Amino acid sequence: MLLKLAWRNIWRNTRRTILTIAGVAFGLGICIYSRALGVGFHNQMIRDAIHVFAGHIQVNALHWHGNWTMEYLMDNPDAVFNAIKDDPRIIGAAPRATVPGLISRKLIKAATGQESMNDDESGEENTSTALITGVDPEAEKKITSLPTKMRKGRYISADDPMGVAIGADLAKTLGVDIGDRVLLWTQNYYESLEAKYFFVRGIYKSGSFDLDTFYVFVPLQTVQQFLQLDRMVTTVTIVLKDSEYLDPVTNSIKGNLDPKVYEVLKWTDFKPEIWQYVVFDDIGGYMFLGILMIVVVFGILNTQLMAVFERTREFGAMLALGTRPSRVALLVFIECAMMTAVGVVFGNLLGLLAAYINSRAPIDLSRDAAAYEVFGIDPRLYAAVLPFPFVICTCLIFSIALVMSLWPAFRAARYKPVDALRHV
Amino acid sequence: MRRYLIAALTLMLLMLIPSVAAEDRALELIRKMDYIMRGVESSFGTFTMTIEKQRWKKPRLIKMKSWDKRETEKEPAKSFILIAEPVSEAGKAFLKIGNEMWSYFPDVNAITKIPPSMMFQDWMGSDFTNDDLVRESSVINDYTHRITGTHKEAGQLIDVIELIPKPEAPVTWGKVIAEVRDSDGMPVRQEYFNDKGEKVRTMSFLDIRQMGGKIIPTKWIMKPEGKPGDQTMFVIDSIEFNVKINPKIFSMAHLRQGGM
Repeated sequence: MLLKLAWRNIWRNTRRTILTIAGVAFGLGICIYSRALGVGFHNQMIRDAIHVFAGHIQVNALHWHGNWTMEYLMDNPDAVFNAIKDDPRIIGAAPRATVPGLISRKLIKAATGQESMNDDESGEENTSTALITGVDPEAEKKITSLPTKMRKGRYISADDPMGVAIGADLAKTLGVDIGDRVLLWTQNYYESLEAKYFFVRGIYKSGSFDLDTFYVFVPLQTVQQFLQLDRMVTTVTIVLKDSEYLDPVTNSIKGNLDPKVYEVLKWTDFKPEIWQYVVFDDIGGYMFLGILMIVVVFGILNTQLMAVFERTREFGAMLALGTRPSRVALLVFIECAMMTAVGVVFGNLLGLLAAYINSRAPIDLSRDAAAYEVFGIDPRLYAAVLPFPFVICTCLIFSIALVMSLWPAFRAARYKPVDALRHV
Repeated sequence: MRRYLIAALTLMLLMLIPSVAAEDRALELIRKMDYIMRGVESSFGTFTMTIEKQRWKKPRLIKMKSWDKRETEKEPAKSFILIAEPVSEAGKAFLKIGNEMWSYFPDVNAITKIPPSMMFQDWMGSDFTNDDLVRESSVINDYTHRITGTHKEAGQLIDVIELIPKPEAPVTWGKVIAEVRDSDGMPVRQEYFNDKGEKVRTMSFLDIRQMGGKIIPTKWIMKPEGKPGDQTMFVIDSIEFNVKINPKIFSMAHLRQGGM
């Protein structure tokens, strides 16, 4: 009975109620859409980072990560391959040998086709820091998408031992193009300086700052030979079929490898900048959400408080007739709840509509792409249509609204019938 | 009253004498040590450097030839090192003139000047740094010397001398402690400390015998502190002193000649 009464009471002032419900609906809609967009954006960033090059899981010798020196090489990558054999959750794994070094341009004079005796004193010698990475081209093609991002030339291959692939930004810094000769400097296994000439076979553009500016990809065997590494590598990178397998697979690998020798890291450990950005962005998003919701809820509160004041005589009459104050409070409370509920339903619909449209058609920020590309973020934003944003926003707004509506409820209940009846 | 003052002053002056004498003795020993290690016009020798690191399965042997010319009034000190073995390093060469150093890698036919920032990196992966080879500082002129103690080792009296670098000296160590034989200044050991007073490495001098007409330690072992199992050992295989060295040896052109 109370429900029927509450419902009828709401619609006594149609315009006001509609406005309040609309307020809730739009507020909720925006909240939901913004979260959906945020989730979509983050998922994309993560997917890009992981699938282009970083991988979900990385196994390296204990202490290598963070040090990157010859002291901590992995003697036996086979042990890692055995540990993950036949795991259906894994797409594949690739061995890599990454060493810090220098790359410089060493052009061959075109006219004579032979190197100048003074080529180390020739004018244009551009040098850059480099992360020289020996990779198995076939394994990389199976698990990462970088080999498909060649802008010029082609990816490296095992039967071209002196060919390297570099990022577009590095190529620009050095002033090199396909076929040009470069000199790679680094330390070998014995920590003695080694240098060797290579030829640029391919130039890629990944969108990731690090990859495009510092990485130099070389066939793994060449690196192992030139640095006297034998079969040693620095990491084995693993890509999963789905990121939900991250924790279970990591734990399973840890169980199969000696923790005194190997270190198994999740992408959140070895690419913390992405994870940190996501968390940071989420916090910002939730703060915005919180503020928005409070504004919306004040809308409901305002409506209901006004209603309570307007109906003072009515409440006075009810109380005088014997309605228990608690029932009066409950009535007001239910009125609030109903308005919120209707608003929530429409809010969810609005949010769903917006998220759906955005999941098909991206927001294109390409004109301002420069800032995004530094972080390797694709400037086209998609929203994710996932239950999470809906559920959390709805629950939030409901709880805030219901808590806030206790105030007018109590006000109504505390009227003294005698004074209330005589209220102007 | 005046008499007492004069007496006190005289007493203080007298007390200074032993410490001055001690400093003199320290300097004398250091001069002797320096003469043993560096006191020749020039030298040409062949050396074997053995590097051991705990994580390697076997030690690494590197054989080299080295020409050295001491500084004169007109020219700075010069030296040239040519790596002969192993095959993977053969042909690499290093030229030092004054406090500048260049390296040559035959694989890429490139001469590189070693910049100051690389001076403290290992030379050829050993426990010696590029700076050790260049060593423009003088153990006599750039430090103050003080004998802090003596002890006996293998029946010989050894003096322990503390060397503190002078403020303007081109020295990065906070302190060096040299142990030399009291009888002739023959170096026994040198310990190097950083600015914070932590010991960084220890060099030991062994196998003292006659070579090339001088009595010198023929085996030098450098051990870095805190890395058990790591060390670099230099053994002098042969050496000639005060030889005439063709000045063309200390040139860029000679660097390129590599394995000649």
